[in-house]
Amino acid sequence: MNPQQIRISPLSILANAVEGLRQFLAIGLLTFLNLSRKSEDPFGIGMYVLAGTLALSIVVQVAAYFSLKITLDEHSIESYYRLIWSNRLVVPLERIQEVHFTASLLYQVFGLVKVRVETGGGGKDLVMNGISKAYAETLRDQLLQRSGKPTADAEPEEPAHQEVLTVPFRNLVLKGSLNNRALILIAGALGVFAEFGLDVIRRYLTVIEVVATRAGWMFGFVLAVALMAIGWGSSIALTVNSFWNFRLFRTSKGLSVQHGLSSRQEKSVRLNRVQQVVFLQGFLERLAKIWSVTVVAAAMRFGEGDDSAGGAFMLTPASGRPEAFSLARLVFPRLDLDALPWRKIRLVAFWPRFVPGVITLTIMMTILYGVLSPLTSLSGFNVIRANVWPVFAGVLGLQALLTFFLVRSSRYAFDGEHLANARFALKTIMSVSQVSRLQSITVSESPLQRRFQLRSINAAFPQCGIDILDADQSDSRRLCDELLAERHQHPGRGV
Amino acid sequence: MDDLVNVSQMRRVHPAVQKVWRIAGLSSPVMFGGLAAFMEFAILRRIDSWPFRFPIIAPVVFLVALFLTQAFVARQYEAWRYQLTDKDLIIKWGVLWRTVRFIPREAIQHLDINQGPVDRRYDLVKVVIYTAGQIGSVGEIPGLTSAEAEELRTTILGLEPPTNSN
Repeated sequence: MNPQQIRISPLSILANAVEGLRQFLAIGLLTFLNLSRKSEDPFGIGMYVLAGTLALSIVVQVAAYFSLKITLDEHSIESYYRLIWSNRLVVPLERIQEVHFTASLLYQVFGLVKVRVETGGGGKDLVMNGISKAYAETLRDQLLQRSGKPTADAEPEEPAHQEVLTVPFRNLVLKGSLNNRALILIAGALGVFAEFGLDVIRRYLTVIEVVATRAGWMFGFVLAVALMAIGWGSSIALTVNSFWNFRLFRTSKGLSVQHGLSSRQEKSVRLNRVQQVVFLQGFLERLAKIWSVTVVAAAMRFGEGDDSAGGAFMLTPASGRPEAFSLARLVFPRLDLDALPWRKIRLVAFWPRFVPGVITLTIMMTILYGVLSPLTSLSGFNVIRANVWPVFAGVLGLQALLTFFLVRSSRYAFDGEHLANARFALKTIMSVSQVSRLQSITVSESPLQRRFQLRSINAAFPQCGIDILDADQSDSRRLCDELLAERHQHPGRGV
Repeated sequence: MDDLVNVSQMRRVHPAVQKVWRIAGLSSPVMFGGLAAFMEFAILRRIDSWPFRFPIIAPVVFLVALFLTQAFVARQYEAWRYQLTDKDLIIKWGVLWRTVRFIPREAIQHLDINQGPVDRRYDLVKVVIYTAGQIGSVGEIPGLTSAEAEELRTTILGLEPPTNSN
């Protein structure tokens, strides 16, 4: 077969140039405003700066467009570019794990997508920016077919894309409303004030002072409510934008999600690479009865996925309990979350967790009080110096309370096939992994744990793990034996 | 930890590793002593009421760290054991904080045999074990002779039963 040249759309030059410019938007705007403030012809200078940056960005993209060559032959797909540095990336077709599409708002306008060919090696993936959507879909089928991975046509007995879950708009608004960004807004407002100097602050302060004098305490109340409302509005908008039209599909060998308004994402994961499923419910989300579910897959690149955690792939950002819990069965078919034999941590585990915290706190206070505070005249240190014992007691009390709740709310379970841990505190986190993928078990004990006959167990899985802190000594031995026995029944690397 | 493993069946590492640890252990006192010297220098310069006109904290920190790192070497050696069973590689270490790690042989992806300059002086190597999907190694066994390390590697990667568990 002759090598096939992969066509990058010329429209990608403009799209990538503007996309690239977006990264400098904040700096550019600040520069623009700064120059505008200082110059006699502010509009002109600011415009020159912006136009110059855009022109430079286009020149770079034109050069990148003509210097990039991507070819596909029967064995591999290869990208090569030579601009200032040269780079050649060859991906053997049999190593291809998945092909992902992403399209930002601008890409959507031009009908383009960004194609990421994932190899699962943890190294650099091959990325093609700016391919027309129809051509990208043909290319994906070609790549997956030649890599030996199932495509939509390969397994007709299973529907290629069976919709499993959609997240209603109401849930997205609910989730967004639970993350108020008012504090970020206030910090941003202060930053802008700081940038423009005291003149602007004085001018606005005068207005605020006049209004506040007339309105009294009502003004403070209204201001607080307004900031909270803006915070709520922005977090709802961001959440809706990120997870707009969230749809989860069951594909022939895995799962696929599509979501996003300004930037449309389409990602897929093979089920046999999923190592862990994580259920998360924040305090406010508990009141709203919504859960988010994420899976961790081996060999996914760090920083990819919807979560900040490495190798994470979100199955739902906000769904009710039945929908969220049913997703676990998609990943681990024999898992029954309601029947897991949860075991509590003994309350005596408070001490091995609290005492090291006290020691750390004492050392920190000693450094603050004895070493750092004599060296500085900062008022914060003076406050600590004047109230060292109340501060120490207060922090200690808070630490004790948090530790108590953490111990009280920790659980773990093993049903013969799945290992799970959970913390049902202010935030509920529940992680489940299949023991057939186990990579190692580490059992450790500190002197204090030894004193109270406790141990910590870490079960490591590819790219994730399950920690059981302060399990009973006898139970740790039983669990260890059972986990190893289950793992030995499943030969193979576990990935 | 003795209920988890049969310590009498586990192998010890080579006694010469204690010399390697003693030499390697010198870096911590130097680091802590240096940090203390920096802080002490800052205090000496700024506080007139500081009673000492010469470094006192840094030498004390250096000596305490030196004592701790050297005093624990023998006990650390005593605690370090490993065992290759027909299904798992088991490693046990730690004096105050004790750890036992079980690595299923099936899960091991590859093994590295490393030798630093101090190891080379005593003709020892370190075996580093890797499993899938982990950042870095999952464990290491220091203080092995080259022959022991090679035997371990062949046995594990060839998935042959161990010739001698003691």
